[in-house]
Amino acid sequence: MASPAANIPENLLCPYSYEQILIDSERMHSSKFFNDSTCSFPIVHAPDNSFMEYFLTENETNGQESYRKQTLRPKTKAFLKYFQKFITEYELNKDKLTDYSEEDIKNKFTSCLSYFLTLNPRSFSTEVSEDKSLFYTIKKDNSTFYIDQYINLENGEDEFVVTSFDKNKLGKVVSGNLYTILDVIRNGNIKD
Amino acid sequence: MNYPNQLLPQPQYKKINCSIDHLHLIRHIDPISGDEIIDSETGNIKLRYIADPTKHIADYSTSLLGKFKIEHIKIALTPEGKKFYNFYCFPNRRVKKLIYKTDFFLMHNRQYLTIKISNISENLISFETSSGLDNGRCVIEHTPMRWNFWHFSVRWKHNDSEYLHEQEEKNFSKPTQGWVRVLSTTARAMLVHHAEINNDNYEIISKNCYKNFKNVIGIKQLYIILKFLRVKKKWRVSILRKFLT
Repeated sequence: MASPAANIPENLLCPYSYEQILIDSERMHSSKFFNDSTCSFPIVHAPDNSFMEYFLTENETNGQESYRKQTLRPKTKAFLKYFQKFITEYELNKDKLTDYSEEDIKNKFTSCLSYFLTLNPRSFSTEVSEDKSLFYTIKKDNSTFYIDQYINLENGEDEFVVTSFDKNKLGKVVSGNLYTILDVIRNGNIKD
Repeated sequence: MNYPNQLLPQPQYKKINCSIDHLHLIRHIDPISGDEIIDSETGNIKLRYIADPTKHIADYSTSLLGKFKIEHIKIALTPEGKKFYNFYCFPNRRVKKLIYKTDFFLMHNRQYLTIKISNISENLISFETSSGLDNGRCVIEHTPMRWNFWHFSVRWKHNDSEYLHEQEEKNFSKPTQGWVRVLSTTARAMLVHHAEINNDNYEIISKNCYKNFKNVIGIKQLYIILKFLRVKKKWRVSILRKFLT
């Protein structure tokens, strides 16, 4: 792994040790990432430059020098944050999901997470349940959505149940596939 | 250490059937070392400290907070204590006091969650299954136990007819077209949403709700006692009238 070049201004050097991000060109599938979102100079190793879509490029001037500063897009930062939290949760509770491979579970999670982040939640969390399900909590505006994703590898279609609340009032309870429950959340379709 | 007398069923107690919506239920949490009880992102109590798997939600044991105080959540039955005390009973049953270390011990690292009854009781839950529109409801039932008069069960009724906790275990893992899975999933989400940790703000139940003087003595015995105490006749009549109503 390369260390920062000597001519990079000191105030841009990440105060923490660098980690390498391996980015799959098809989807964000990080294995390690920076533990400080303010770190502004990532080292990236990728098979091609399609990863650049995940970064914002801005021109920055420091004294007499100008350079291009790249920072992760907010959604990408959010993705990495929640993905890393999920990995921690999964590692502590993988004994509840022994029927499934780690890759299958990670793929299912990242797929759901990608969709959930399009909803712009103000907070999001995941727990692994003994029901062989992933339990998501999404808080958006004044609403809270609790989603159980029951893993089903037999026919590939997982079963979802969403329970919604408008502040403290119970709203809709819907079961179906991922798109059904996304519809409930997107349309603010929570009042019974 | 003496077992708190106020937790035991008493001869003068009766089943609580007055309105308790303004009161709170309490349940202990056994923290897992190295794990936080509260999710830092959402501020909710984590699922695993509420009920996991969902079948544990079907007949959810709690106590009515008030006379059952917060410190009482530290009480746990020993295996020996469970053999006799871990059973439902009539509210006015005479029960021998539990003995420390023989029948019960204290778990000092326990924490607790509380739920305001009005937030979950009788809330109608409507959902669709393959058989059409279904509904469920949370019912809070007073189920006194030999070790704890204040024991309450949080249960769930389907279409106001069948109880969730009376369903076969295998139905909890059946596809969502079955009402058991959907109702149990929603029930758990409701508790996650409404449970609070370490809340010490609560009201206490009124004595009229759980005390029944009639259970101790009959009207004849009361008349004899009042006469023995030389209570004036007009007061005797007034007390006896109140006793009868």
